Amino acid sequence: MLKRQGRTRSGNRLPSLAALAAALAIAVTGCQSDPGKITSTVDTALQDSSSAVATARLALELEQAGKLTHAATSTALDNALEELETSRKHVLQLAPETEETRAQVQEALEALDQSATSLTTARHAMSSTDQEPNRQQAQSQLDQAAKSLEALTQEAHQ
Amino acid sequence: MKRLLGVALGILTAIGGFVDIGDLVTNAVVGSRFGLSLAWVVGVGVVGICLFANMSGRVAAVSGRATFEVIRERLGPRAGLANLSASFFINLMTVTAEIGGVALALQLASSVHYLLWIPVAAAAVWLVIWRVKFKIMENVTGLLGLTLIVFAVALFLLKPDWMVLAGQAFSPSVPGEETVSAYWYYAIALFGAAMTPYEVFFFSSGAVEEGWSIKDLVQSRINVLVGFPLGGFLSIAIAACAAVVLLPAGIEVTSLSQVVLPVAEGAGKVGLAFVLVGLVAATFGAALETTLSSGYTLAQFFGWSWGKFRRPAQAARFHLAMIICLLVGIAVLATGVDPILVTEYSVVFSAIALPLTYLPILIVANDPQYMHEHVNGRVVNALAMVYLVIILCASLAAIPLMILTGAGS
Repeated sequence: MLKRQGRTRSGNRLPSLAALAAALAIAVTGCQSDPGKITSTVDTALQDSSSAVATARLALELEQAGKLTHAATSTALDNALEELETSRKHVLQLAPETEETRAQVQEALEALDQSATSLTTARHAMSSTDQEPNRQQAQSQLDQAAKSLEALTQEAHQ
Repeated sequence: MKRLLGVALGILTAIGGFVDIGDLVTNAVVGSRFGLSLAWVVGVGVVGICLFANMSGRVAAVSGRATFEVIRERLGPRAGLANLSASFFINLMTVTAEIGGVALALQLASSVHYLLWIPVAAAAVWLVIWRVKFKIMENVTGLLGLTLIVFAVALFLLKPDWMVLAGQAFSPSVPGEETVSAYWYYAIALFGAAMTPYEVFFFSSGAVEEGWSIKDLVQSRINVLVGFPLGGFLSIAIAACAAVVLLPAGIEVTSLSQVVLPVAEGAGKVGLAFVLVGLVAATFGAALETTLSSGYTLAQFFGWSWGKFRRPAQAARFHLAMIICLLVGIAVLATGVDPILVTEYSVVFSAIALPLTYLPILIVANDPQYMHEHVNGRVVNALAMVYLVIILCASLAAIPLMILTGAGS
């Protein structure tokens, strides 16, 4: 009897659990497409990426000035790229529903791609033996990426 | 003369041993986001750790037993188990963070990925615990950790605007781009980093390892009251370096490689060499302390034979427990979880568990059955009560603030 009761109770629980799971899934997917959530995710991603690019610029500057070792500079650049990739992944997971949010996500992704390219150039500059690309090229690409990120961040805050 | 040298060595190792991965990361994160506006928390944390470490050292010196043994006997197995669960969980998280910290520091020195350094770091920790004498282990890591003073040297070489730094430290306010909840979340994290429970357990078990008696109380008090505040000063120097270089550049600290950049800017490659030695020594020393603390807490609760003063064969379960803790740490880090993230969570969880750690110490330190005439005085008890209120507030506010701020993001 007890067993049957238990089975009945768990049988009653199953639909409730399924409903709860469905509600959670809707809430999660809903959050991903909520305009407020999109703006906040994009904003955070841009800020984190700005910090990563600023780190790379500083590390490269210090390395060129003979103040930072090759190993420490490479590690700083690797960490910056990882940070940027995480931000990019978060933006890629968004599901914008309106024209405005789609444009916002697209612009952010372009800036993040530019930043990732500049960081990759910086890493290549560190490992290249033929000075191609060289540190100046990497520094200038990082400067450009920083400007794009800053412009987007300011635009988002207006 | 020998006694004076002993006191000086004790102070120096206390300074060098004060900073661990939690202090390094949390102070740098806070400095890069809030400037020196949270420096007051380091002060509050240092006074707290001095108060309770001194109490715990006194319990060990007077009773000849480690604090945890006395807590279990005095408060019974249930209260002892609550204390053990909280402390052991935090210890395990801290062991993981420290081993990750050693690996990250070695990556900075070698550019070899940190995941490859993790088994090496854990094996080295085990080997030192197995083979090296307690005194040598404590002194070498503590003295090498002193090279972190390069943060203070770099700060002077960076020629900051001292008035601005003083303004941030003495009239603290929440920076415009930060929220009030994030400010208080990091205040709790800094407090947890300064008052990490393992420091107290290690201090009291270390007193038993070194055979302290009542006549050593003065030296222990000097070590704590001079060494820990100077260690706190070192923590503020780390935050100040981040505030001077990283904050204006818009860099928010998320990795150890960012923590060393201000030192490189101020003191160049020589400074970088010192800071790398300091990082390895501080994290390795703390990995030893937390691993030992894990063994101490378990062995003292279950009544196993423990201590480095015994041959490993005579304290087999104590050594086995430490090996298992190291293996758990390696397994967690092998999943690819960011050691800095583990560190950030460990300091906050440390703050959550503080009441379970420090209340029993206060009760035992007031028990004349164990302490005889060395029970706490009125001033110490009054201060300890104030701290219990602070600890309780920090503990209760930690989780809501963690949820509210998305773990400070």
